[in-house]
Amino acid sequence: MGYLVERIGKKIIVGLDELGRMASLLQQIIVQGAKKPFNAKHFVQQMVKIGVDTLPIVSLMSIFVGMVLGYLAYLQFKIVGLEMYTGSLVAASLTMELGPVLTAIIVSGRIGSSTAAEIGTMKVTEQIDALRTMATDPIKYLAVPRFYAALIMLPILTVFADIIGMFGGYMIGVWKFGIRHQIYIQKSIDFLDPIDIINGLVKTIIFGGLMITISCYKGFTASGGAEGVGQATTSAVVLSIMTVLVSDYLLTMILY
Amino acid sequence: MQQELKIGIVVAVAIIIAGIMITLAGGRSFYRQGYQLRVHFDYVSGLDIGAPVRLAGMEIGEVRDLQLIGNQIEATIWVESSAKIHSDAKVTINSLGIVGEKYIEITLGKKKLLKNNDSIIGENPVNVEEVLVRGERVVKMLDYQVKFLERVVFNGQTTWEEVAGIIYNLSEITKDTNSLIKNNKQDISLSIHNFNKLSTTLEKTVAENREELRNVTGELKKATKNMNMAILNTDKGINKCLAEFSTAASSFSNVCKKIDEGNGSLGRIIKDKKIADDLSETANNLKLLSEDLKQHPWKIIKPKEEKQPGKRK
Amino acid sequence: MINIIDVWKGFGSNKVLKGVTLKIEKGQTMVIIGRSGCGKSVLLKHIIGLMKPERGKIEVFDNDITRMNEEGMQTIRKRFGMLFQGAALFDSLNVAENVGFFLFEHTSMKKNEIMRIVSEKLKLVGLSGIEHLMPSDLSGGMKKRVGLARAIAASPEIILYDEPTTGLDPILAANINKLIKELQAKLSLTSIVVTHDMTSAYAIADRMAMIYDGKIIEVGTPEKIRNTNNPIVQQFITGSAEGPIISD
Repeated sequence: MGYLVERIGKKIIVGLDELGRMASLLQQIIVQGAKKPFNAKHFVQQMVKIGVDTLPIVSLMSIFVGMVLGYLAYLQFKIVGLEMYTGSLVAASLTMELGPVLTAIIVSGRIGSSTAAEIGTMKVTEQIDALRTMATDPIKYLAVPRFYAALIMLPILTVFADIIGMFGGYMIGVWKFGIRHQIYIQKSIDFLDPIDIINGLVKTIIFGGLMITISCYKGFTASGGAEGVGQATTSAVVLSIMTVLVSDYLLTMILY
Repeated sequence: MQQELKIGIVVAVAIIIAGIMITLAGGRSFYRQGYQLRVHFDYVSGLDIGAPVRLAGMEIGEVRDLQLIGNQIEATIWVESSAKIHSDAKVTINSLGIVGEKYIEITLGKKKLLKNNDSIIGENPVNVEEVLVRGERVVKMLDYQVKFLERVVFNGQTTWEEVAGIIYNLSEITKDTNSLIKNNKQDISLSIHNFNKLSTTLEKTVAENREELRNVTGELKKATKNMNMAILNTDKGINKCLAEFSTAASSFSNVCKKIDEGNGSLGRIIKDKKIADDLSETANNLKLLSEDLKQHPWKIIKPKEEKQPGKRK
Repeated sequence: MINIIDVWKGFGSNKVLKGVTLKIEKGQTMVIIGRSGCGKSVLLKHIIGLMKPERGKIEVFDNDITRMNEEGMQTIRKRFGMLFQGAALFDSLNVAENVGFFLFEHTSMKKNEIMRIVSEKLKLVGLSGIEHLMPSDLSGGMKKRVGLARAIAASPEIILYDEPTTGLDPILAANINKLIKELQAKLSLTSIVVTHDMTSAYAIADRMAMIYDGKIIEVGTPEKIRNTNNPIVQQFITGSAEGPIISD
């Protein structure tokens, strides 16, 4: 029993320690990010990686999510004879919740893992040390461009996820179930609130920042060769996704 | 393709989409120009903030605020600046379909235009429950009267006093009905008025001579037609009353048949062929109407489809 | 030039450095020898400030770097070059970008000017015309030499070598040794070399120091080390299995 308490206590202390280190990394990223010069080349590279290269998979995900949503919403609404509200449900749930969260989860999986793996490999092969010996701050050189690229590209990806998901819902609602085109569009628009859309995008900015901070942290603290990098990558993805979901709950409480 | 170009395309497309979404979103008139009006109600029937405001059936704004001021409720509504609301417009609270979403309906007007922050008096919505209760009472009384008439005809023990009493009661009923639906469409009150007039005439006529009875039944016939039209335009709350009304009508029809066959003393009194025919036709009209309504209740909800209900057979 | 005074460092319960004191003069090549895992690399990382000692102080260019913050360290590090054990080339950059990294990041030199320096440094390490290759295309020996080119690209005053000849064939190792010597002669650099390759150590050293059990147990010229009476040093330099050092 005492042993168990001790173990739990140790876990909590380790967890709090990690949390503190991540917070200080985030702070350093922000401090370093504000300093000149800004590494535009890396920033552009990361924007391509996070934004452009992730766009196809985000589109694929969101069109299917939209279709499933449309299908289920139609079946439920049909029971009470309100099938014209299918588009409203699809539009509202995508912009408020599913678009932002699913995009953040996909980016966590794709970018979180590659960030942790890249930085982790650099760490275990002494490339991070090499950077420092060449008077280059690894946080500024590696984390800052990724951080800003994530902050900018996540809302951008979410906009695509929203609109493509709505199109998925439209395909099901209008082409499969035969809701009238004008009615579908009108009801979708009626239930969209500009504030909801903006809140959804604000959420993704925060998701992006947290996700990239966690992934960078896991990379910077990787140790023990290839296996260590593997562990760092796994825990970066798991922790990023958990953080996205938990912070989504908190942000929803705050924003709505 | 150059990296910067790719990013540029993605970002630009996203900004355009986001811009369109945010601008289109809501119909909530986030950026549209508009003005506010204050509407005072005694009773708002569960109206919510955010409920739509319609001008002659077209959505033009929403309810922004509801506040209790003194013993009245002040609803602040926002309407688009393109929507012109006149001081003689009627402002009512209606509900939409089965779901019962409440909205504010404003009619077009002619007198001076209302400006920002002007106030206007709203009409109180019909309390559906009250309509139902009173309607039911009316039908019960009618039913009772018809049964009484039947008894009188069967037994042949009619006294003029009794008939006069019946007619007096009928008149009371119509008064009641009249007050019940005085807030409703005009044709119903017209029909009630006719019915009222009819009863009064009937009372007089029966007491004096039978010659005028002919005119009376003619009028009764006209009244049913009016009633027909009126009921079709009435609120759905009366729906339930109609079912009972139908029973009443068939009883009435029974009576009239007996009168036609010449049974009972009253039958003999009014054995004049013309009067009997008229009465019978009236009863049939009533019966047809109520049966028709029973089968097709939507006609009450959608009165527009039945432009001339009086012509139907 | 570099003055290490009573430096202690441990990782958890494992004490690696237990009071290291060492002085390195300008223009000298100091070779630090010792067994694998005895703390040689750790000492090297302390000199360039990648690690902070628990106790003691390290003076570089008359500055106590143990008390410096990261920003202060960066100005000091600009005068250093370091060759890592595994070369530590940046995977995402090609050879030219690796070699010219410091110049690209910290100077306002034009690109063609940097490229000229890069090819000059690559020529110096015997690798001309590979500017466009990626590190993954290079062999181990090539990586080391590119790493060396990178270390000297910014014309540093001090170069740190972490196991420069480990994992190379004897001929390549001899080449690297020659290269280190040449650089030393041409650029009059101060060099600190960490190695357990005694051939290499004798070939390049002006002075040698041996670390054992977290302390410097012997310092001197290669001659002095070769003729030492210390049985531990004796066992290490002759590479015999018998002696006071117990292998585990």
